[in-house]
Amino acid sequence: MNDLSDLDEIVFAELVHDERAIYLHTHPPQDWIDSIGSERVLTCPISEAAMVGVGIGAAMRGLRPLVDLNRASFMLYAMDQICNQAAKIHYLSAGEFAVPLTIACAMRGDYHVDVAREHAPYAMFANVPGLTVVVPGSIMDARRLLLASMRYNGPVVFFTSPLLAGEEPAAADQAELPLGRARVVQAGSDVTVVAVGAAQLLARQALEPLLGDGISVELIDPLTLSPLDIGTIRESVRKTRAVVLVDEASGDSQVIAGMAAQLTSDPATFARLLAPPQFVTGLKVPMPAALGLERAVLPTSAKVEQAVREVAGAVAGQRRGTS
Amino acid sequence: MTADRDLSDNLADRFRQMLLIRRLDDALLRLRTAGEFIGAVHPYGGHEAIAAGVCGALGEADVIISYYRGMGHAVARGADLGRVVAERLGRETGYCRGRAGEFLICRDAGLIFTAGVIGSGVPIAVGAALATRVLGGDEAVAVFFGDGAFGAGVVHESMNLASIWKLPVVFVCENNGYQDHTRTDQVYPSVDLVRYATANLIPGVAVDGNDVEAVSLATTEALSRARSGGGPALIEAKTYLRHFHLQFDDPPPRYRPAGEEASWLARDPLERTRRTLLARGWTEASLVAVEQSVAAEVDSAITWASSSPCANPDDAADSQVVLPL
Repeated sequence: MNDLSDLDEIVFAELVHDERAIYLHTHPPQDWIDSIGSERVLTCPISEAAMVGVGIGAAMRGLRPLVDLNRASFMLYAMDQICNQAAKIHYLSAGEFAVPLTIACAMRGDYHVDVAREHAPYAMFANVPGLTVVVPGSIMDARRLLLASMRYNGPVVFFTSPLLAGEEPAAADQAELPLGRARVVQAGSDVTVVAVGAAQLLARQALEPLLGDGISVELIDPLTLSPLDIGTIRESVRKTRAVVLVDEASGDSQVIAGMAAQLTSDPATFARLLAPPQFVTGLKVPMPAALGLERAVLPTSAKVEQAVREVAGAVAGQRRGTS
Repeated sequence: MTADRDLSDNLADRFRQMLLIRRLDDALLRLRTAGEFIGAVHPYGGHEAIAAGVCGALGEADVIISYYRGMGHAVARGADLGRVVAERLGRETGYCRGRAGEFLICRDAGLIFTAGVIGSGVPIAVGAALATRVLGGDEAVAVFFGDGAFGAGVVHESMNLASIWKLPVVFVCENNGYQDHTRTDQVYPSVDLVRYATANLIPGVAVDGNDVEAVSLATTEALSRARSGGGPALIEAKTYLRHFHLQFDDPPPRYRPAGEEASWLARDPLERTRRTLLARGWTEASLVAVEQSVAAEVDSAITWASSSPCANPDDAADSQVVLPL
């Protein structure tokens, strides 16, 4: 799935484990068809909207579909089915019908597939009531959250990045990880860094040089963007008193702007903050094709480092002033 | 023949359902004009023979998916009239506790989804039929949509999928010649809509949508083929709306030629069925008795719904409607 063989393993195991699970894709692995059957491993034409609609109808009648739409940009073909239909049916039916449907896609990899296909559209889905939006920042969490998504009773939009694949060896642990909970990736005391999805890679690269300079970062992966585990993030920020929010999408996207708002609107967190939340984000332009331009658009580990140093410096001054 | 024996006849049953739909349709328009509820009313009047004909041919376990004129399909499937009206009036006793309004979901009547976006119910119907295949049942799915839905790409995608997977779906196009206020012949190269089935190698048939027996026969044939693994079918039922596409606070101005309206109203499906019943030996008195009983049933549903409690604002996000993680 999505160039991530680690996730393939999870999906196949779940297809074996649960006879209600079905998989829809434009080019499913032949060995899955051979062992599970073509009725549950469905080879589809390039019909994203209908694939999601089929997933909804099948889910309402007792199946647990995973619709794999390949790349995140292709999801936009299915916006009506995802946002107007899948997201609303449980509510509109007053709980009579659940829609246990997972819609998965990959965001950018390291092969630079340009303006039409490089996309991080999770913010727009996170704005829709009724959808659970999962954007894990490590392959291990991606495995465990994909499993949880496939076993959940509602519609989940699952974004992953092929960049995660090489990041760490896949853990043997295949237990579900609960949806809706953030992970404290590393405990620290000076600055909280919250990084979304593949931006976790940038944040993790920055940890060591920062620690070398005596800056202890508490790194958080929100994992589920909607509903967001703001409690874990607030708790960390109340402790460190400073926060840097990192996202490949642009800074005014709902996701990290919303996090900042939920931090500063909470009196107990606001009272502890010694500096305004800082953003390290992509530029608000479509992804350009040329490599140099792409690098200019995306955030980098160096920018994360720089933002953390700046806020740590400002905060240190205030800590001296207030102590 | 006694009136009781008359009503056991299939056509008389369909006549009664069509009357229920007609009477309720007119009542909802009146209630909306009177400001008794909010939102849009997409009336069903004129199409009654399609809902009654298709639903009359379906089996108990079959599933239907509707579009925003779903009241007719719900009633034809035997949904509780009081709960249908209560949903429209935003009452706690409505089928969806006031959450869905016009977009009815009536699980006990097999109406699992009503699309508010043109064509969006069609792939969901294909998925519902896929579940039949995977879970090993023999239920079929009927999905209703208007002629305007063929403007939506997802409808063609869905017919393609149903065809390649040979799923038990009956696509029912209620072709009333208009999409919103635009004439369909202005925006399609031909008003022969069966060609869309042909393109996907699906059997398609055009029927007189004001002839309940013709609709029923076409549905029975489609279901028989679908249940024996023959795959989907398209029924294009040609019909006409009695009133208009849509009403908010007040009935809209006329937008269709008067001559066209008059010629279709002369082919009214209820009048036609009534005449057939009389020709087959039913007495005027027995039909009047049916009409009176239907009127009383609709009045009673409205009275019950109107006296039901309104949906409780404190429950707008309660655990019954919001899925916990």
